[in-house]
Amino acid sequence: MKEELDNILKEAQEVKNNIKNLQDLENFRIKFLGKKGLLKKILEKIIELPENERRESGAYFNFVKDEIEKIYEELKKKLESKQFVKFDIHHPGRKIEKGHLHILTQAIDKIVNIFSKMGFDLELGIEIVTEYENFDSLNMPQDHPSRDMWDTLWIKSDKQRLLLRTHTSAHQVEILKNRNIPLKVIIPGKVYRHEATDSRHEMQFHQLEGLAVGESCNLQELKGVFYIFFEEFFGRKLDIIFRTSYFPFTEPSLEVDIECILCNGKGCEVCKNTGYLEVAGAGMIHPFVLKQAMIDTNKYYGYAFGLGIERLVMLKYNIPDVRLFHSGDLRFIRQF
Amino acid sequence: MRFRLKDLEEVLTKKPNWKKIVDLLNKKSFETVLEDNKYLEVDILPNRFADAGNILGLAKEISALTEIKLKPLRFNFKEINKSYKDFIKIECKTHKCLNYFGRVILNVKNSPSPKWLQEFLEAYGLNSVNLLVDLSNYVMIKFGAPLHIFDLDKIEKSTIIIREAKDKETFISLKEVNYELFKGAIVIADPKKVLALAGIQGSKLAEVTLDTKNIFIEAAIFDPASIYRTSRMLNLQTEASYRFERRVADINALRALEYLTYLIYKFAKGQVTKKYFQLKPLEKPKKVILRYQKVFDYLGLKIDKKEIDKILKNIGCNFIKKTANYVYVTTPLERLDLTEEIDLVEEVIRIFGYDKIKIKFPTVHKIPSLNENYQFANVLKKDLKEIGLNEVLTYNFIDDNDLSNFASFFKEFYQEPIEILNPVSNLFKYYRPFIFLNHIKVINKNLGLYNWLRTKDIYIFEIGKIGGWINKKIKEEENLCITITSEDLDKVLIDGKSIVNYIANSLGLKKFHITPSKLPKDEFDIFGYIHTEEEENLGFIGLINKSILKKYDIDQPVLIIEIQLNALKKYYEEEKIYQHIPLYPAVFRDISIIVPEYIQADVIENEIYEVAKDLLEDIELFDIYQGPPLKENEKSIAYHLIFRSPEKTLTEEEVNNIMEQIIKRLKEKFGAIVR
Repeated sequence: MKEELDNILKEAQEVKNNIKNLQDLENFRIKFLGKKGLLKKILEKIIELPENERRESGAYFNFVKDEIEKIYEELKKKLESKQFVKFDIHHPGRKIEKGHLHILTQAIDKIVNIFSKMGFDLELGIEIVTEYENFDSLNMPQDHPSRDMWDTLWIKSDKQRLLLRTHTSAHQVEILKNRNIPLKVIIPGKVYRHEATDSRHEMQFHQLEGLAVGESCNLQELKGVFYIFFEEFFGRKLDIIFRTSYFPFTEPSLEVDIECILCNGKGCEVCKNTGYLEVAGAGMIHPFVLKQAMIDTNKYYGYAFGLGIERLVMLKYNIPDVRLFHSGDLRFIRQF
Repeated sequence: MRFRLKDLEEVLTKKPNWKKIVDLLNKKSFETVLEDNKYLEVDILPNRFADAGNILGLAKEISALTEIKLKPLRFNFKEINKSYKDFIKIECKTHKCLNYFGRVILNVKNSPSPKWLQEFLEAYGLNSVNLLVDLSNYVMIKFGAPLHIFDLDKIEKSTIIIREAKDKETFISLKEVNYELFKGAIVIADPKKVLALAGIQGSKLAEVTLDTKNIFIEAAIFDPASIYRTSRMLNLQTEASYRFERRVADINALRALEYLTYLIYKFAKGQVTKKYFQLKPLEKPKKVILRYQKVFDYLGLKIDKKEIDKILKNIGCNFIKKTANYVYVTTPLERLDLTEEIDLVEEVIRIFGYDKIKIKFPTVHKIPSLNENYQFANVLKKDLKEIGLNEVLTYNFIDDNDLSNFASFFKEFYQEPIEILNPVSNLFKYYRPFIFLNHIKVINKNLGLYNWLRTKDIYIFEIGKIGGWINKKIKEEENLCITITSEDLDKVLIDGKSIVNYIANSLGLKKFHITPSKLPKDEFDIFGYIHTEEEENLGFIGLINKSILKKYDIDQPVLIIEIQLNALKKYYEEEKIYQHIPLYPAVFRDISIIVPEYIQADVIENEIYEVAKDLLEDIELFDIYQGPPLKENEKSIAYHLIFRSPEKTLTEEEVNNIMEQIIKRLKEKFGAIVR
């Protein structure tokens, strides 16, 4: 009997090294310690032995059983402690989706911060304005061809002529009236045009109006404002040129060009080989407009400018189609 | 406007270096492109069309920039010994004709045009008609003044009347289209018929043909606003109307008339009658004072006064007086844009050169103030982004279908929609009264993008303007709209509620209340107004009706939340104050009760708060159940209750006591049965 027990113990000690996981261990347990296992079977034989042999074999049985249980417990401890480490480090993980702010919200916030550093307050205007605010107050009387520069969406109304602001300049006179001089204000907002849309034209887009009035406002400062703004926005110093233009509410009126950020001024498709990109309209506020707000034109000067926000964002992020901004397409939104 | 280099070279004394000219024009005058070394494409600014929108005018501009001189224009013709007065009588009956000149030429020989003239017109985008008409167009391109030739023999009683049109009077165009006129339009007529729509087009009835013998040439100045209005109302825009709208200098009109007379004398062998008709004297040159200091102030830079004088001279100003501080000049007659000091400041600065302006760091007078509305919107946007919502921007317009689908709902808020008189298309006919209408379409679009997005859970938000008519006034507001959709209805409903609470919490409020409303029944399956404890209405939350969603091709639940930003903003406190971290431990209890179905969860909550007072720190609903084994009109509802005292550790006994009171109250009030 002792010999049989020795063999079992020996076998247990041998297979021990082959046990690599908890499943193997379970098989080990069933084979040696289970209800129908090897030890159980031998115990049944021992019970049937005569008294004196039974005692002796019984004691030895207990010794072997203890040994095998020890092996089992040891292995169990070892395998269980090892188990949690078992992970394929190359597993790709789970995708965690975050929310996204619209790129225009992000860009406007960045622009607002840059102008804030230069001392500009922020104002927000309404979108439905009077004909006076959008045109007459800005030196554009009725039936004047300069109004053709802005294709207008008119609102059906019995009394006053109302429209969707075609430019954020519509708030100039109101702000000039309500604020103390010196003043420096920016007004970002949606503007509307009666325009057929394509990849470069939209009927609804965002503009940023800038307005400054004070004794020291002049073209040098205006150039400085643009220089700083574009450097901060595009992240590097860019050459700036002013060209003659015409807006009824500024004089001198300017077109502002920056060195093409795509070809560094060498000339490419986007800048039509000129090396420069038109990015803003600007000028010194026309005395007509200052007078609308009762400002002494002999004492104070002002400058104003308008930036197309979509255009700046398209240039910066290489976005080819302006219609993407208002499409609600999450494939676009989630990129930023 | 496109110019042939050849035509410009013809009037300049020296052939310019065109590459250099293009560069100068671009910086100082107009956007210009050199095409094929043959043409200049010049974008003449609207205020300069009167003087520079013609060959001589652009040549003058080039001369001012380069000091290349213009050739003097020499021409002469003989007049016969009869006066124009023997052949035409002219009456002007409207103040909208600002000036009028006219010549009579007899026995002209009209013919097809020679090749050089045909080529000229083609280069400027005009069709050749016959010699007389073509010559008048040639002169228009050269001088900038539109001229009109009438067949003198087709003018009834040799009388020309310049007057305003009668209502419903007929004008027959050159293409024999009948136009119905209206008061305010200016016509050139004889006693019987309309000969021309002034400043826009002549009539077939007085047209010059190859058989024409005797002619009357008109050179006129009409009220620009009137021409602008008439040409737009009739949708008849012509080379002439384009120029009259942008104003024509009377000196150019007169010069053009005399030059055309010369050309007809030369090429059509006409006999020119003596003198020309002139309604009014020519405009006098404008006298303007320019203070040197103004130029310095605008530039932010002192420049040599001699340079200022030279620029003024080059653009054609004549000096009346000159002092150390200012010059007093007359501006050129054709420069209608130069009438006051600021105009001369601009002239000096642009020709001096914008590239010479240095960069100055802007003066900062004060630290800019924050705009509360902007800050608040940004805080909300960031909060919503943080819980995984995506911000969209949509067009602020809706169409007739949107409006009729939500017609009764619309009436709850507004009387009339804001209608666009001239919409870009029918899809953009009204300014939106709510943002969610746009979001339904965005949902549809993104569900269609399943192939790319691989999800049918779309959670979006937007902050934007909305509006409508109330009491004959436009109400424009800023709204926050959150729209969520998923195939799982429970998820949509519970997430919707959670987002409303999240917004309240992020503003530092415990929660918002929702009062169900059955008014817009057709449009929403579930609908409630969102308000605060003080009962202020903030907005609404609703599950859009299935059959309406079908119209938008959406077959899964869509829940919308729309909140007025202005109302919400009142509850926003930017500054946070430190709250003491509680010293004593909390005691947790659960309660589960059965109540009649109609009793709202938040009413029960309020009741529990009222009993427990300050000792109840928080209450959290964790289960609502309806169905067997409960009765038809019953529901079971379960809360976690968290008790804490700021002063001491609560004992079991104390909490048991409160729980008993709560249960008692709920039994009394709602007939609640504790499970």
